Amino acid sequence: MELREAIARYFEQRLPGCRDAEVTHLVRIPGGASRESWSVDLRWRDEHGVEHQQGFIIRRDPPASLVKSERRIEFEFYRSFYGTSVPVPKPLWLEEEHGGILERPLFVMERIDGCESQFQALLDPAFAPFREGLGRRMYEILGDIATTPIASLPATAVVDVPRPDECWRRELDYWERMIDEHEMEPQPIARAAIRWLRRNPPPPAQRVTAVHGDFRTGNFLYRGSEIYGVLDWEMAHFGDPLEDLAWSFMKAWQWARDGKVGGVIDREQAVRVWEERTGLRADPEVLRWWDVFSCVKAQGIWLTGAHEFASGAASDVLLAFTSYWLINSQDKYTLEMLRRLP
Amino acid sequence: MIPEVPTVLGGLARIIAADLGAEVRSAYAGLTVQLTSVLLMMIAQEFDRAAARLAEENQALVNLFRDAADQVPDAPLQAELRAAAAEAPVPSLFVSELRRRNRQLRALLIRLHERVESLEGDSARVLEEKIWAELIASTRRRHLDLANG
Repeated sequence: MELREAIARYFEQRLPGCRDAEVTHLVRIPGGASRESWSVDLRWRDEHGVEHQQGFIIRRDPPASLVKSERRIEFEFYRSFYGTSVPVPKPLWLEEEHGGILERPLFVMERIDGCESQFQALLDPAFAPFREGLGRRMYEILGDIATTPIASLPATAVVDVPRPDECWRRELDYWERMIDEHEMEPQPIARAAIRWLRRNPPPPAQRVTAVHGDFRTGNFLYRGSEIYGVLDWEMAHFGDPLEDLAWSFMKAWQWARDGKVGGVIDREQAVRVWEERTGLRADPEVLRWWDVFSCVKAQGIWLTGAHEFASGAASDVLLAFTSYWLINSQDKYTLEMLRRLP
Repeated sequence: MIPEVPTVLGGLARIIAADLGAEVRSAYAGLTVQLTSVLLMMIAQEFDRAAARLAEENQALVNLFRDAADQVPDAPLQAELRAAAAEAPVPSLFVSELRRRNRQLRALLIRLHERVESLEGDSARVLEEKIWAELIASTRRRHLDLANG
């Protein structure tokens, strides 16, 4: 069955009273390291014959990806934050079985319209008046993620909550394992960074919180200086909130090459906003540990993508591109974070 | 004479970006075309210098191991370093052969680095700095003009 037709039949099964469903526009959204994202315009009639139109997003598992993630975890984090001060699209349905109408596991969300997500638009001179405000909102929202009490979040049903002293080790063990499993040649710089991280462990997390896992420009929907949806929760987990802060600062996302985080805000200002919002302290030396960790994690992601492409498990050109574009650059950033560059 | 590989890849990259890119309507296909074009240009740069950078790095690692062998107290690691330093350079200029050797040498570099970090004394620190210098040099050899950084 052709994809448009399959999607229409799927919604007829899922939307209460839905009949005569028709996909009027279907676009694959570019980028996305872990799942195929499809933007769907759907028109249908309800049981009273009233016509409806709405936009949806389908996040469908690819054959392979940059990021090994569990769709249920991502879905439950969307559920955890929907309706809170952390804006996310409304999650609707999770399909975990293979072989359904849409063949692969997926989940569906309502689409948030009228926003931009691509980081390139942030660099447009016309966007300059909004950059500082957007940067501030970024770190207010990241602060809200870090201050949301986790006990009642749906995600706690599918993800372990570590003790404060376990957070760093759990993440480092995971990403070292990813490198072990996916490196196609030795990685002396990443290995040196891992040893440094183990020799210089950070103190226990001040608070165990939700961690988005990939919070940066490019992964939220914005218009002007407001953020309307935080996306891409595929690496979300519970842990030390400094992990998210450091990840957002990584040099690979300093798109404008002007030292501004994500091309929008100074690191020092971002830290101030985040500290004010959370009441937590981002000690520079502790944050440095998470800076180095971010380099190891990122290298784990790029190496996984390169492996999936080389093994034939995936053919998306994005995976080959990121291996050439980022693996050596990430080694340079790692050396910089380890203060080894002259 | 046929056009050289970097010339052909650079030409393909321009055709893909300028001619095909203009025909593409969907955002997903547009991004794929754009990435493919930049990827081809990066591959063009790597194609031209791959054998040279691998041969240079393999020799740099052999030299490093030769200097390091006397400073490492563990007999088995010392023997491996000496064996690696004594091994004749790869006679082939096939990139695959040079890479195979490079993988062996870089795996040994990781073990040497880890051991040297645990050693006390000034000479160990000097050797450690040499290792870091080689790691920095390795990123310069691999630098691509169109990479992220």
